[in-house]
Amino acid sequence: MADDTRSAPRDAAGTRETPRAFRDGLGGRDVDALWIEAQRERGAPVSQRAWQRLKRNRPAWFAWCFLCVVGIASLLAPLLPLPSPKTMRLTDRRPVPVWPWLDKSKTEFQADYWELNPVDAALVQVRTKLYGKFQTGPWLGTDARGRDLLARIVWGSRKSLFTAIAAAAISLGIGVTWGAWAALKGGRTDRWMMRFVDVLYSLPFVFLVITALALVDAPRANLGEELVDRELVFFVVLGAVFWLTMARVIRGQVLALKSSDFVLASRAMGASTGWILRRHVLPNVFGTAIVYLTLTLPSVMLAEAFLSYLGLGVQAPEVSFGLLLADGVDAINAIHVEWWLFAFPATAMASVLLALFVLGDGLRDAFDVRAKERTAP
Amino acid sequence: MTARNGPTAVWLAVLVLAPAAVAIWAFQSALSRELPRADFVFNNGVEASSLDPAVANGIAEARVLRALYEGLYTRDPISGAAVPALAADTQVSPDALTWTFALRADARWSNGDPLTADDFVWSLRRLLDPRTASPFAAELECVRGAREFRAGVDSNGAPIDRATFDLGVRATDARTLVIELAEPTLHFRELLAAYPLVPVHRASLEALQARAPDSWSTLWGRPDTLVCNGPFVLAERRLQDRLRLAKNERYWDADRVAMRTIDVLAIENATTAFNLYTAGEIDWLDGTVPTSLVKTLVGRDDFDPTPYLGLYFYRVNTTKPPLDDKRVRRALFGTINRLQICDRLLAAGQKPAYTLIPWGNLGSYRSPAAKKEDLEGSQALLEEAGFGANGEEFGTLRILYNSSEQNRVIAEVIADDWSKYLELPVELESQEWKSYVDRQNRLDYDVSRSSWISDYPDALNFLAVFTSDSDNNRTGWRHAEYDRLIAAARKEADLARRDEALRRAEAILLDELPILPIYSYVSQNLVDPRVGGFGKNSLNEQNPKYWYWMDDAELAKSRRTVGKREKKVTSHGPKDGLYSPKSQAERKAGGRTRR
Amino acid sequence: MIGFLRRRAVGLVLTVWIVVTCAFAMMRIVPGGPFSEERKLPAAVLANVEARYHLDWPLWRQYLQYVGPLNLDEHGLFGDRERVFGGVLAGDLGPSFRYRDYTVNQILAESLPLSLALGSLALAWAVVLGGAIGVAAAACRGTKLDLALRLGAALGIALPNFVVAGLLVLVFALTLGWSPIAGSTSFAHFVLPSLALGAPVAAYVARLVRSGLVEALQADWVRTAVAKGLPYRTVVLRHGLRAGLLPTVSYLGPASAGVLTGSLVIERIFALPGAGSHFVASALSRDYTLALGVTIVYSVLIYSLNSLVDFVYTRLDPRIALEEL
Repeated sequence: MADDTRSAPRDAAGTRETPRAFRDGLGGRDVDALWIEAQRERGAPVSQRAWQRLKRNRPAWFAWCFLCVVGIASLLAPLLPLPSPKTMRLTDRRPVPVWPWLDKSKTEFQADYWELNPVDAALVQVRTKLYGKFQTGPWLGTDARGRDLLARIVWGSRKSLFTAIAAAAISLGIGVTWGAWAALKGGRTDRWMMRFVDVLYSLPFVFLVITALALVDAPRANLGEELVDRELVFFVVLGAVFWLTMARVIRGQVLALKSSDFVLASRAMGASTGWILRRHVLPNVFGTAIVYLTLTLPSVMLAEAFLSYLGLGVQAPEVSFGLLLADGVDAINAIHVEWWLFAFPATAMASVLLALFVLGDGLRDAFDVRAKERTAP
Repeated sequence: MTARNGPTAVWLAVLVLAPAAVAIWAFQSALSRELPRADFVFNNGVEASSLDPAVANGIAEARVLRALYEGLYTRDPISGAAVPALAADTQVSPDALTWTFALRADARWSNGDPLTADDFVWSLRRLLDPRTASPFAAELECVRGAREFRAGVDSNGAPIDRATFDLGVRATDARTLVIELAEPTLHFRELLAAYPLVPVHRASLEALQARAPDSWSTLWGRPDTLVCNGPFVLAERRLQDRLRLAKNERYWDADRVAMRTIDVLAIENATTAFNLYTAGEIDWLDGTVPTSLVKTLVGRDDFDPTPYLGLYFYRVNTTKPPLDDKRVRRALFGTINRLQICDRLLAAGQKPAYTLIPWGNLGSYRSPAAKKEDLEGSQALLEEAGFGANGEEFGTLRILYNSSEQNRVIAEVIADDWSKYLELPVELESQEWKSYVDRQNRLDYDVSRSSWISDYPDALNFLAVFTSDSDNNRTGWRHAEYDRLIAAARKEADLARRDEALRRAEAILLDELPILPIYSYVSQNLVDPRVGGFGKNSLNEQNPKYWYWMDDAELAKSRRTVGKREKKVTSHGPKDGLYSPKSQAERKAGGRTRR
Repeated sequence: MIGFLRRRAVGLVLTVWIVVTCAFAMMRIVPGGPFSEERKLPAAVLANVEARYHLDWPLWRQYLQYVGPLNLDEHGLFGDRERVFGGVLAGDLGPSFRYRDYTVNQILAESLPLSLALGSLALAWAVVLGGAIGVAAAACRGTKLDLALRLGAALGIALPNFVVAGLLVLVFALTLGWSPIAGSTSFAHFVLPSLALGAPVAAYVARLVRSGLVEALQADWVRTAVAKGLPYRTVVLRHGLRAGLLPTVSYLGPASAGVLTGSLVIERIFALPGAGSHFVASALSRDYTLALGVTIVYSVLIYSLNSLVDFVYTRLDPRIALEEL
């Protein structure tokens, strides 16, 4: 059996593997060093130990730091001395990318945004106080409407990341609950719940999206009435589509856990399914869920891009990676290529997604008990 | 281990070989279909929904049907006017109610059958029959009896038998067709030139219907079943790929047709089509040039934007407060920076529109004087209506548009204008096509992007859209006087009085503004400079019958006279040109006399 | 074996039936109909068109008509007049509403072979290249080469396919001129689209092969084999790959269903008349029958491939018995 150690259940309070079990899975490497490490880690919560391991995985740690920087930059986008991503400059000659030190353009900042939430609006005010009318030049060029590409990428990353995280969180919620519940209940319930997942798998993605969008679209009698928040709808729709894989993966994990001693013991003591789910199962699938979350994020971002390409995604004048790339692809043609419209958004999106993948790999290794062998040869 | 290796190897082999076999089969069926390049290739943008002239509906369909069929009248590619085609002679009675057509004696079907007046009678009855469900039939209610024939009941409400019903269309002999009208219809000649009014071949269609009563429509419109009478016949039909048209040797004017084969492509991606054009694989692109390229293309001798009878406008939902207030609509109208949209965004020569009739005139018709942008006036109007700085809450205005890059860009600019000048909160909402249409139909929108492209060059075709009972109104706007004026114009036999009625109607519309005109279209043909006989008219109607390839000498000459200042583009067409048999003979004769 | 096939056949019919029912309901919930257009059809004309396709019937009747070979028209059950189509059970997927001159069967017969050809080419190189990268990365796991290979492979999933396709066109067709720009008339036309279509699959395959191999190579029996003195390469390829392939195989099942049925974006950009665009376009144009038709094809394909995956499992892993599946 290849997977003994790996599938051995860990209980919620932390793993107490014996040195014996460790030694079995070592493949004859430096036993002493690992033993010392194991001593040090013993008793620490799963997540804390995983964190320690992640830190030692250089690429994953680098990816994590990169994502943090991107995350903070996009979170604080209103505070950066960037031009507004909405202000158009419909002039005859549009600026092309220019090195910051050669940039001689003097443009003045205008606080001209779409309707921002109160926090962002406050941040914009702080920004105006901080830098006044100063704004960065067209370092990455401008789009067809003369809007600053750097600002659009930063704001776009914000939108895309936020959409992805919100949708992935929704998919996590539904997927974990559904998968775990199906596995724990077992029998007919399990079969039907999983058949439902299969059916949804077989339905084309665009079908689901259009139907979901149509279902929440309510007409309004006059302009004063509340609008259905398209943004929220969009998250929910994406989340509702992306929980399927999560549910399958979690179900597999829980099936393995189900026959473990501590779950059986709880059952014998008369614990309810819900209690077992909360107390034993969820803490144990946490690692797997986190790993799949980092893999769901890119999928959601790609789906957002595809829907924006079809015009069903993020609504202009707001901006996302998907909208930027849809514009960028239009710039590829045989006679007049505005390469920056394509190159910069693509680089930005690709680096974020790559970082997510590397982080996902790193997290999987980190949550894996035997991870040391892979990351530290 | 070894014991299992044998069967495993077999299974693996099966698992590898079976898909490989499927792949090879798939490639064979996908690749065996190679065709030599056609003499002329153009992109139609989408797959034609149908090749049945009574059912087809749309610009892409019309282009194909023009090549396959010919009616009594057709459109001159240079002037766009309705000119006789199969009608050798047309007599109109003094009261303008009886039209008598003498058909060409040499008109034939592509299978050799003679084309008679009976074919026209049968085809028109088929077109009007409600079971055919032709979207064009309503336009023909000017024909005597057509209304009753379509409704299935006579004027007293008694049911009629369609087979024997006396419709105002009859054949007096094999070559003479008489059409009687219920009311004088000044635009009837334009209707005759429309693509649905072509004859269809009765014998072959009825044979097919007898053979396959419920699926004939999916068997018709194939190379082996479609009998037609135009300059071209259908040689090959590949869904979503291409229609291959071949010259119809039995066409009465076949000597005038130069192209032996034409490919009609259905490429939906504008950039792909453009790249293929640049590589010389496509010779003509219709208006779907990528917007970002227009500025680069203007000034090239293969790109010649021409005024086009189409209007881009916003519908306003006049049933939704506060948009039911005329002053609010005027304020919205007055703060759209049209010049910026036309010059900076579209940049192909589109012009700001302030009237419903694009370009402000159409034939003899002249639009009334219209208001233009007026920032202060608009702000004042909005305040007068009770909004603005210290008025009531306006609510959020949402612009609905169907997803396309160009619509998005224009909506962004207009939203910007309205929030800048009127300080209104504006949101954009893009919807896929069907949801967008559905929302318009249910009046579930605030402001919605729209367009209207004329079917025939007549102001009535635009103005009739906004009557109260029109299916296409979709603004909730009703105006009794407007309806009365349009109804009067419809029956008017005198051109000047008709124009006057239409002008008064348009003045009402422009005062009430249920729609906000934005710009008048241009047609954006990208066509190889070597192509001759190519139309340049306000409907962008092309007739493939006249197309030919110029040889080097003629190309040089045309470049000297027409496109002097324009940037020359290398042509991908044949250097020796391709001429119709007749003009080839003429050229030879001309060459000899000159020598 | 017979039992397995029988169980799967029943499962297939059941799943497809549920999928069809769901899709049927979903299509009708969505606003807009197949014949709603910007230039609205007059009400009387619309009524006639809808009557022709029996869209004026109550939904349950339309549903029965669609599914069954029952001829339900105004003459009641088993009437024989005005037969529009035979129903799914009779193998007739009905007339298309968007392409009025075609039936769904005709459309699929024209477009599926092309998608299959493109998809199998994409799959072939995705499996070969992705597998090779995965094995190489696993063999030198933990080194810089491993990281480089993994990052390179991940590039395939790091960009939306319309971007990958655009990039390929820009480089290989427009700049270098090595490939035709678009079209479907020769084998060369299929190379770029298959690369764009296969890139994400290759990336996933590389990932899964690597992690599966790494896992397998740490197993006891692999160590035994090394200790026994077998060359490392033999161990990797013969022992490791076999067990390590399981996750890849289970991924490839549903993934190849997606690849074989094509992709709207790729087909649009390369002007290929394949079936992939119908998945999106038919839903967008409310072509009910075509949308249901492609859904049926997809669900049959995905179910069959999943069954095939289960079968391959029993061949790769002797511990799994066919009888239990």
